[in-house]
Amino acid sequence: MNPFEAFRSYNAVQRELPLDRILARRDAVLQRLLQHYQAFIDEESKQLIWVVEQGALSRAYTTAVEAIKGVDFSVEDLEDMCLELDASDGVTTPMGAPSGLFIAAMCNHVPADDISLNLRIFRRRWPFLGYRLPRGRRLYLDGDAGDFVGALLEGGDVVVTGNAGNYAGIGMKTGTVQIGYSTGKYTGEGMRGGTLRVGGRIAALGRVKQGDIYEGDLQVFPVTNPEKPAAVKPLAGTARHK
Amino acid sequence: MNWPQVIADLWPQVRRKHLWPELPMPQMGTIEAPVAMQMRDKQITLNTATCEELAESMTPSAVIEALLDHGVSHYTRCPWDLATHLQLYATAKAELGRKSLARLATDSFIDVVANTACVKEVATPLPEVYRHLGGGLLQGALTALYTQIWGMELHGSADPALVRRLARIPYLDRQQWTHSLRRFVQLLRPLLEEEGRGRQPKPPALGHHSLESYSQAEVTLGLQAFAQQVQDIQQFCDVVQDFARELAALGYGKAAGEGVGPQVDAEALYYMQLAQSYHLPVRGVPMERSGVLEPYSHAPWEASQPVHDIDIWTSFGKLLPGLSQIWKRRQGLVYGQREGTPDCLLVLDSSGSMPNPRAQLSEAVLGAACAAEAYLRHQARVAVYNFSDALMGGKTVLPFTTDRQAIYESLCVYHGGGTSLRPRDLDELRLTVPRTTPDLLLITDMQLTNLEDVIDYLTGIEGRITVVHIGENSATGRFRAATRHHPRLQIFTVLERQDIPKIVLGQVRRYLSGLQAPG
Repeated sequence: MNPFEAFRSYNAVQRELPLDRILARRDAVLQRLLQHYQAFIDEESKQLIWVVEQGALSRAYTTAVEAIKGVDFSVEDLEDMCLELDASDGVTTPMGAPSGLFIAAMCNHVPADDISLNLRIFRRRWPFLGYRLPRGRRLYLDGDAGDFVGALLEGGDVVVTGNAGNYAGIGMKTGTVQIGYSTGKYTGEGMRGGTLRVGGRIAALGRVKQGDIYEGDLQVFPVTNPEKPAAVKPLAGTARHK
Repeated sequence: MNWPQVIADLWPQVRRKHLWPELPMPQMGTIEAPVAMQMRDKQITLNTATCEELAESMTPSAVIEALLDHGVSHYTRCPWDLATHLQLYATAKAELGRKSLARLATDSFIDVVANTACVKEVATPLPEVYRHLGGGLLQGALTALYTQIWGMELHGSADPALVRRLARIPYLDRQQWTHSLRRFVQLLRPLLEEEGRGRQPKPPALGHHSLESYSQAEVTLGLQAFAQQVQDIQQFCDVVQDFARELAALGYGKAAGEGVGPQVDAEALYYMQLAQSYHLPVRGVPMERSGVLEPYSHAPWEASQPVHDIDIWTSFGKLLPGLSQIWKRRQGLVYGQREGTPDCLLVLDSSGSMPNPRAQLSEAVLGAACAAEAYLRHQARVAVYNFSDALMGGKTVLPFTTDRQAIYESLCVYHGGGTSLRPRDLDELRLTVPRTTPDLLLITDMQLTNLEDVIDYLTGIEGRITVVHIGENSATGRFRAATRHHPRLQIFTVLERQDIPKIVLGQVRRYLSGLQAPG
């Protein structure tokens, strides 16, 4: 005789809340993005040595754009994706430049014009944030950005509230990059247009072609008064004023 | 309004909804803070003033039911236990740094989890309360969040982008609570800082969550679990100091008027809680045959058997074979003799070469603490001789005592500096034990400047001696060679510091279970 036969399992009736739907959608989108990211990283890791050069960047960026095509994601999904990439739990494979390019591709294709990322909460400093940001989009980065911020900018506005690493604004065509504090070496390297404003100090300018660069209120490129030496010395043998 | 009667009528329904939690009947009362309720030692008290205010917009029964649902949800869902509560607080503190903001953030998160679980799992008028509850920017944002995740219009107001982000946190996933709280704090940080700007932030409208809501037993278990979970001693101390007032009220602090500085010796408490998790089995008292035959059971009497064993009470006064009952006797069992547990003298090296137990986890102190716990549990007393350069006064001496707090405080003293041991001090301590020779446990790295004196002393005294030394050096070789033939002296070489507690416990277990230690 079963002494517990009078007992019945109890299943409490639970309401479905909007929270459940929000989380289910979030998880589904995140899952797809992570899968595409991993495929992208697998593809890029086939390169024996990943060198930052125009051809590799262009190819990797195109692959990243292809990877996220068809995924309906929002700015919040972009943030959650950054949180996932920042977590060192082994679920995702961090890979410097390609990871940054993947985030840049998401920023350029998310259905929103104003994108804000709080970099203070991330441990990683991804390079290439703002890469090829198109006209009409504004990327607001709260905190310190890594190298190559605003690279090959295509008319968008990039705002960094903290410092930026080396090669800020490299190859930018049009648009604006504003750095709250200081930038590293090779600032404005290969810049062909647009405006780069640095609130603090520029460690060293790169080989700038065209565009405007300001250090504080002082325009350091092109130098407006040839009598007065520029406050920022270009790296030896690299400055080439057109 | 007869609020007690409303509570009495509704409490059985609320208990049934929440599957009969073990909570006493709630009561009405006057609470100083502008909060709706408080919970002390599991007793829910609702604030009469807040209930009256809410009753202007809701029915009294809905007010009471909603507040009880909220209170019970904290008990049955989040934070569930003290260890979880402290872990959540530690997460918030790590993000925010400021105690008052961390408490507000933790309380707010716990409220969101408990309320959401309640709304999801039971029928409750709780959302109505939030519809009529006032509050600042933070409460407005949380009410807007409830609107979003519960699907009910509750009139909260906040930046829609913030609410969208808050609504993506998996509040009901217990496994992710610390991760979720971190995100919750990151998003709400500006509002939390606004709440706490230049003053003490207002408590959440439905009340604070403090240690007072837990029972004494829950606090004990919670601290033990939390000591196991924390990354390092600093995190434990940081959190415990923030709850020093409540812990002192629960008996974990210094006695009133004792000493200066913080109310709770957090480092001593840390080692005390860690040592609790190393258990020694208590040996059962052996039973022996008493040698005396005692009446055990009845059997029918036969004519061939002696009559003096007949039990006249069960034989109905008759002397008839087969009817009369005779006592069958059996040898009785009595408690056997057992040797008493001797007291223990803990001799702990806290010279500069040993880690500071107040800055990082010291396995030497933990090992000594485990030994102390084992002896205290066997009703023995423990003395502490904590030394560095004892010849120059670098020592802390605690006579034999059962005062656990005093023992831990003595173990946690860090002297730094050189290493020398004064044998006369140990002799004086040992002579204070009137009944038996105490066991002696010495934990050191053996780099003693007067090593020869110490060897002479230890080889000349009675009682069992255990020496745990850390690392190999020339001094350890000399010590081992000199004490090789000592019958009661055990030496353990420790290469990994984390092995110390296990070695100490293993040796103490041998002593307490009466096994003869090999010479």
